[in-house]
Formats: sequence, C-alpha cells, structure tokens
Amino acid sequence: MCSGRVSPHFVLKAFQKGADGVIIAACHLGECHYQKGNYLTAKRVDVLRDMLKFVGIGEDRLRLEYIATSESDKLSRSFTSFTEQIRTIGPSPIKRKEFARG
Amino acid sequence: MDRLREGIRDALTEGPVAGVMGLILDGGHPRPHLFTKGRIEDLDRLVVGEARYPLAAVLLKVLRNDLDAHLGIVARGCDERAILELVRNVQLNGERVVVFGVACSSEQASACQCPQPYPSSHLSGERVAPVSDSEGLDRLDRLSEEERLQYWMDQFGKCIKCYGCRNICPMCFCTTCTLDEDDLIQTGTIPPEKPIFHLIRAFHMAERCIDCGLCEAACPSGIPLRTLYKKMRNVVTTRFGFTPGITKEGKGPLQYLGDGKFGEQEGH
Ligand code: SF4
Ligand code: SF4
Ligand code: FES
Repeated sequence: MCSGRVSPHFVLKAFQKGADGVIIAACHLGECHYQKGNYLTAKRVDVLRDMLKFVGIGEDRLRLEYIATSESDKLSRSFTSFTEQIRTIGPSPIKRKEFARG
Repeated sequence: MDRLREGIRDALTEGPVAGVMGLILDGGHPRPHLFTKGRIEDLDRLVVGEARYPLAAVLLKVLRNDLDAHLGIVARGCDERAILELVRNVQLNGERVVVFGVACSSEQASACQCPQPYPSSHLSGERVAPVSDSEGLDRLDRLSEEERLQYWMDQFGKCIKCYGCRNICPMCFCTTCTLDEDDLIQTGTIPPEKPIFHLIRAFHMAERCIDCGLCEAACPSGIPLRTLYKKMRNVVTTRFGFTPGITKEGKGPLQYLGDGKFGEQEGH
C-alpha cells in the first residue's frame, strides 16, 4: 500500500483506540511507486505532528520513515528505535480514566 | 449605504446579475434574502452589520441548483474570504459571483477579532485596521504539553455533538461528512469520542478555515473552536506559506501530490 493511502483519519483513529505511537513507512522520496504519494504523506505528517503537539498528545508519537523494500535492516532498526522512543515517552494519555467520559 | 443600494440596483436592472444575496430586516430580525429585479423595492429593507450570517454558504446552496446563475453577494471581509476559498475549491464559479463589498466598523472588527474587516473593495463603510487576536493561542502555546492535553480534553468533553460548528461553517461545503462516519467516530455517545471528533474537523480546516469565528459563536458549549482552527491555519501558513481566503487560484498544500515545502508546486 502506498504511504499516500494513509489518511490522517487512520492515524487519528489509531490514537483514539489507544495506540502509544504510530509509525508510517514510506518509499524514499522520488521512489514512490505512484510517483508522489510520499510527498503528500510527508506534508500530512508535518501537519499532524504539529497538531498532536498542540493538543498535548505529543508530536514524537508519530514518525515517518523512508524505507525501501530492500532495506529490511533499516525497517527493523527504525521499528526498534521507535519502540524505544515510545517506551521512554510512556503510554498514550488518551485512554486514561480521567478522560474516559464527559 | 446609499452607494451600496445604488450599486445593487444598477447591477440588477442593467447588468447581467440575476439576484443578489444579502440581509433583510424581517419582523425586526435580519435574515438572508435574494434581491431580484422583479422586486427592487425590497432593497429598502437591506441591512448590513445587523447580524452575522454565513452568507457565502447560503449563496452556495442557491447556486448548487443552478450553477450558471449570475449572482451577487453583499460581502464583508469574512464573506469575501469565504467566496475566494469556495472558488479556489471549485465550489463556486468566480466569474459568476459579483461581490458588493461592505467594510466593517471598528466596533464590529473588535467584536469579531477580525483579521481583515474589509473586502478588496467596498461600497459602504470605511476601512478600519484588522484586529489580531493571538492571545488565546499564545497562552496555550506557553502551557506544558500535559496542561494542554488537560485543557483540550476538558473542552472537547463539553461537546454535545450538535454539529452546529460544521453546519454554520461557510467552508464546510462537502455533501457527505467524515464526522458522520460511524466507522471512524463511534456513534451513540455524548460527548462524541474525544479527541478524534474535534481533531478530524481541525485537520480538515487547516487549509480551509477563513477565520470568521462563526463556529465558535454558534457552539452552545462555548468550546474555543476558533483557537484550535487558528492554530491549524498558522501551521499551514508557517510550513507551506499558504493561507486560506486570500486567493481564488491554486491548490492548498495538502490538496496535491508533490512537494510543497522546498519548491514550486509539482505534479498534480
Ligand atoms: S472560523 Fe469556524 S466557521 Fe469560520 S471558516 Fe473557520 S472553521 Fe469555519
Ligand atoms: S457546535 Fe460545539 S457542541 Fe456543537 S458539535 Fe460543534 S463543538 Fe460540539
Ligand atoms: S508506493 Fe508511494 S510511498 Fe511507497
């Protein structure tokens, strides 16, 4: 699936469901199978990160990585470092009891 | 005001304009009205500045039924920004919409905290200085992330899901709405799932909101919606140099594939 198909709605839904972090893997710029899907993703991620920061969820819970299909080592490195980063930040605040209702 | 009435009368009687959208005093209450050649005398009841209405949205409703109709609109600064943005989003035909401009008074401008209280040209009123209100935003930006989260979750928790914000917004022109999507936002709860309900709307407004403030004025729960959308506007302006409501041409940065950060608009 092209990263350009990752609607901002998917990202917000993941956070709503309690995801502690969301990572989007895209082809390198200039190498998108659909030519420019990843440029759009990059722009959306920038805006989403600013929004997450502004509402206090935290921009570092969302990351975009450019990983080619041949770069399995980069894939695993990115996921590991993102997991570590999220562990440091801690669990998502959205599911906290105090925010549950009303 | 006389120049405005005259301008509209001339356009209706001599020009190609079939009707002009404006406000009329009806039983003491201002409401939208389409002035036409057949009932020129209605112009005596034309009012400006009595109330704020999403007039551009009303015009859009009329034009949806007749895309080629040549219509005019009595427009304040905010109305004109809405028109420009609707043209840019290919909802209105810019060649067919004639603006009869009205500049707002300084009292109105400060009541609305208006970033541009006048249209590009006007037949009534005098231009006064914009009122820039970044106080609410600055205060929030100074808080810690944890405090901001508390703040917004409290605010979103007040929402009664009346859809007033969406329904009054002149930029909410879509005919189907994500906020009605059951798969995305769980139904049957009040407040609606938070923060997703408000963040979806905020994201959509990022390259569209013309900062008219109607949503916040309409919200029965007093949620500072304008501050949220103002932030999103600022984000898009800072990152991509694009501000909605200024030009009727081109695409917003999130509306095309390709890079909007480092160079010219690429691709399509
Ligand atoms: S201020 Fe509110 S009503 Fe006005 S354009 Fe922006 S979101 Fe829509
Ligand atoms: S107008 Fe206010 S209460 Fe109504 S849906 Fe919008 S934010 Fe919620
Ligand atoms: S195919 Fe578009 S980002 Fe990979």
